Amino acid sequence: MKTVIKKTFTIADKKTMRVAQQETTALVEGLQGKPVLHDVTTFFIEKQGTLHHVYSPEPSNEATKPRTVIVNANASYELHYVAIGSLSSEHQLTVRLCGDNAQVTIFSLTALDGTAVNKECIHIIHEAANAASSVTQRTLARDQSSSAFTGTVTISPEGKKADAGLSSRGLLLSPVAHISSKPEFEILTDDVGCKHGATIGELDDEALFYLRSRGLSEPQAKQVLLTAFTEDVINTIAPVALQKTIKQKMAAFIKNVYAK
Amino acid sequence: MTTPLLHINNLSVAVGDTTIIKYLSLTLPAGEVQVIMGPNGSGKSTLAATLAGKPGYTVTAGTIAYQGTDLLTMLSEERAQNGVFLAFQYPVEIPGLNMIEFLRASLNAVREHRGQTVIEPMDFLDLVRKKAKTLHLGDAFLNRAVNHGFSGGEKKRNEVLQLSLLQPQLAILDETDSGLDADAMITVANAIAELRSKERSFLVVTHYAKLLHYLKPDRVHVMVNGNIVHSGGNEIATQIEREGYRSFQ
Repeated sequence: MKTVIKKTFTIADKKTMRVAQQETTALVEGLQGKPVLHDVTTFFIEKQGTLHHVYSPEPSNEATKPRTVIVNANASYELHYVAIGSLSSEHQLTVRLCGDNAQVTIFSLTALDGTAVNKECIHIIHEAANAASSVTQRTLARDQSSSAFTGTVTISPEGKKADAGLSSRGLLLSPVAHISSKPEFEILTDDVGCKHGATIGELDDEALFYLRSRGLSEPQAKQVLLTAFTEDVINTIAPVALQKTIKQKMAAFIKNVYAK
Repeated sequence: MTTPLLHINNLSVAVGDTTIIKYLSLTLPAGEVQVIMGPNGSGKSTLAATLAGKPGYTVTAGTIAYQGTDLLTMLSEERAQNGVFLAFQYPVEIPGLNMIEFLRASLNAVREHRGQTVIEPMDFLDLVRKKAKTLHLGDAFLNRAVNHGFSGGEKKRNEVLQLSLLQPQLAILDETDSGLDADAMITVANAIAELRSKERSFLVVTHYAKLLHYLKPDRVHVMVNGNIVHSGGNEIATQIEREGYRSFQ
């Protein structure tokens, strides 16, 4: 069955965006000419509502305000956060799963160059039963760029039968680039399913040799591996045009990695 | 006298400070299938990796001539483009890289070197589906990421699929028959046997005589402690299966 995505949503007091009960809404910020809604600090998704959100920070002198997403019963929030290039950015997000069966899925891709500094803090709180959360975070850092990621999942005493997953991977593309990743779980109840993993490293030599042994040149093999590294995030962006836009931005970034 | 496809002369190879291959010599004429058997740690996989140009494997003595030219001066991708193919003992998982994209990029890299035109996506799809079918691999398999989450048998069949697509002159099979169930073994062995030709040579590293029933090798070598200590016909494989390597050590 084809999902009908309504482009409408309400912003009650400039600071709060509300997705009505049973509505499915899409929001794009910072891509395809769509502005970042700097004033919005709270997203409220009513029961059985769905918000598909793609957010790419844009160069701005304004400090990015921390945001909170409230997900009610049987509602879901999906975020693709994409930060590519030399701009410094800060992303602070708290997601409260307040109703039973609430869901949040976050895909985050950060590709930094120059002297960019990226700070990303995601905090997910399971406040009701049978809620599910998933975070897939990928970082590439070249030149003198630096990225710090903190992902915290709190399962409150009411968050029984929570299903939570957090995967963070970082790829260092220069000897002076810096990536840190700190996944944390605070589990205050029993009967939950949680898994997390974090890795930071350089391109895998074995994979590089495998591709070269199949005829791909070293630069070509490296580009293929970097592209593959980002696919977990990019391929999950449903609107085809948006996925294409981000793929093009990513391809330009990767092309430059070995051009210098 | 015809130049052999591969001529290894007094080869020594070290990994780090450890010398693993010690003054090994081997000649492989075009069209022949030669087999290397030997106990674990004897240097079989080191030889295979050295031939494919794996970084970290340092040739400290000797020469390798491939089609009459010095193989050791070629990068690993140049070896592949010139027809050297290594079927990995442990194929590498690459999450995020789609099989079709990988196989097409690989085939086009080799074709480009041969002066052939780039194969169009639809033509490639027809070709790869046909090849995959003979290995009992369907479309679902081709839509997955390279070796990611594959079973041991699927990984090995994927290596043979690449062998079949790239059509190399020298195929080095590093324990391609390990980890296969009986049916997969027959499928893989038949696929490899069908690739035998007058122009193509095989260097097969194996622990089992079963694959050799299908490949009918021209020569079997026994490798112990970094060198070939005995060479002969298929009867050596049968002897090893019966008695192990005791009589060769």
